[in-house]
Amino acid sequence: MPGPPPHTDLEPWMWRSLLARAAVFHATRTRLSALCDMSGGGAVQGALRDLEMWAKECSLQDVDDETLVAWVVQQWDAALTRTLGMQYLDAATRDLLTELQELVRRACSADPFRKIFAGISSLASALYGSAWRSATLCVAHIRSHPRGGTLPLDPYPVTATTPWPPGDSGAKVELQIFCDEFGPAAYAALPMLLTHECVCHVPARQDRAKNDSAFAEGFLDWVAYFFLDQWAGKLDTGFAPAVRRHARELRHLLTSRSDTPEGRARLVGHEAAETLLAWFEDACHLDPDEGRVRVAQLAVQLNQIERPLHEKDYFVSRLGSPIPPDLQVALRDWEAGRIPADALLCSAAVAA
Amino acid sequence: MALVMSERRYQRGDASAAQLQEVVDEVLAHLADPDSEVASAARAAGLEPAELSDVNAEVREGAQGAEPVLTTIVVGIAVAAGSRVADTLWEEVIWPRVRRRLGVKALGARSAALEDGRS
Repeated sequence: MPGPPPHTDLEPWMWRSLLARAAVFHATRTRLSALCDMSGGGAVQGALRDLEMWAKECSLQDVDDETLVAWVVQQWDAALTRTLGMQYLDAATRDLLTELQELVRRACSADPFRKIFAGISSLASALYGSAWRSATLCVAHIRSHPRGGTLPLDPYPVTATTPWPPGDSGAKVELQIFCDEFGPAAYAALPMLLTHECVCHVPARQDRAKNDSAFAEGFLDWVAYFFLDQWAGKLDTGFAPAVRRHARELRHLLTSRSDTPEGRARLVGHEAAETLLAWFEDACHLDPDEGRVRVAQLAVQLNQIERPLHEKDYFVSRLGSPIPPDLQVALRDWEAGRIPADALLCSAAVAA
Repeated sequence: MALVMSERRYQRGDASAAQLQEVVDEVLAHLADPDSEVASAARAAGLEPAELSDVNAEVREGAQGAEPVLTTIVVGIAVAAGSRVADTLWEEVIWPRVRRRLGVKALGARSAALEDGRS
């Protein structure tokens, strides 16, 4: 008798349907980018449709996770064999499907969502040290695309949230998936979504949640992309190329939405981070890599300061070009280690 | 003992009142079975299923409008044991099952306005 799903916000059949696909995507993660590139039509699109069909079929079987994954792999393997028997396939398609077939045979039933989250939360915990809050992952479902998008234009029908305030036992990160459209691109974007939650929100010290905060959703979001880029190889070498690529594509999608307060906050925060980076390069003679590290360090330090979010937003709002002279003095002092980040935050506010 | 009606109002989410009502009815039907997982969840939340035999829940649209996403959903729970029991029943027993079935955005944000208990 199978046990209950590991995520209590999912019906057992829904969990099985998600796990079946996620286990396959995890097993084939080294070829996910190619799978996405070639999924626009032809035999590769057909292979993905086969996988979706078998995932739905197996979700109706009341079996344990291991049996489930073994069964869907067997079915998809057989479907790939049938496809590979067709003579019209071009060489690139044949090569990809052959590789996928070999890779999927190594699929395992361990919860891939928790595996990704465990790696990211471990690195974020090391980054924040004693300021880190313990965090748990909960996978839940939504019944429509989170941004109202359609698959070819926005193949990421996933989002994540961290309810505020955190509970007594720590923060809860909720990964929300529109199961009907969960495909390889969405799987490859999961590390970015979870890195955003772990870098921006899990350890945050603030007074409230604010989705249009230029600091929490913009400045820190820029830093989350920086850290994902740093961490991707450590998390999973084989998955890293697809993770980095889909993080970039998701970022492009999210920063092209300036029609909402949340979208504008993201843009303002990203621009502030870029302005600060350029200032570090110019005023402190740092090379771009060193500059990015300093922006990230400052953001992480500010995120740990128990101050109202509007003060941090105000700091970000002052990072326009040119940066005001008083703030430049304070930034130089912080960069040289003469003042801590909370003093920088205070001086930015006092100067106002 | 008179039933106490406790109402909570939400912004509309992904689900219609009819869809929500269907799941709520299903949960309450399971609550009547003392051996069910729902009855166990109620006991774990400090509720005694036998004392909830008279519970009645109604989900309805709070208004009509050209933009369904802007309308509200009203969840009313009537139970003799009082509004606190109704709150616990909703929060700990009914809502977790609704969100599992219909998704975490089945209901939108809760609206504090127009919520009160009445006998």
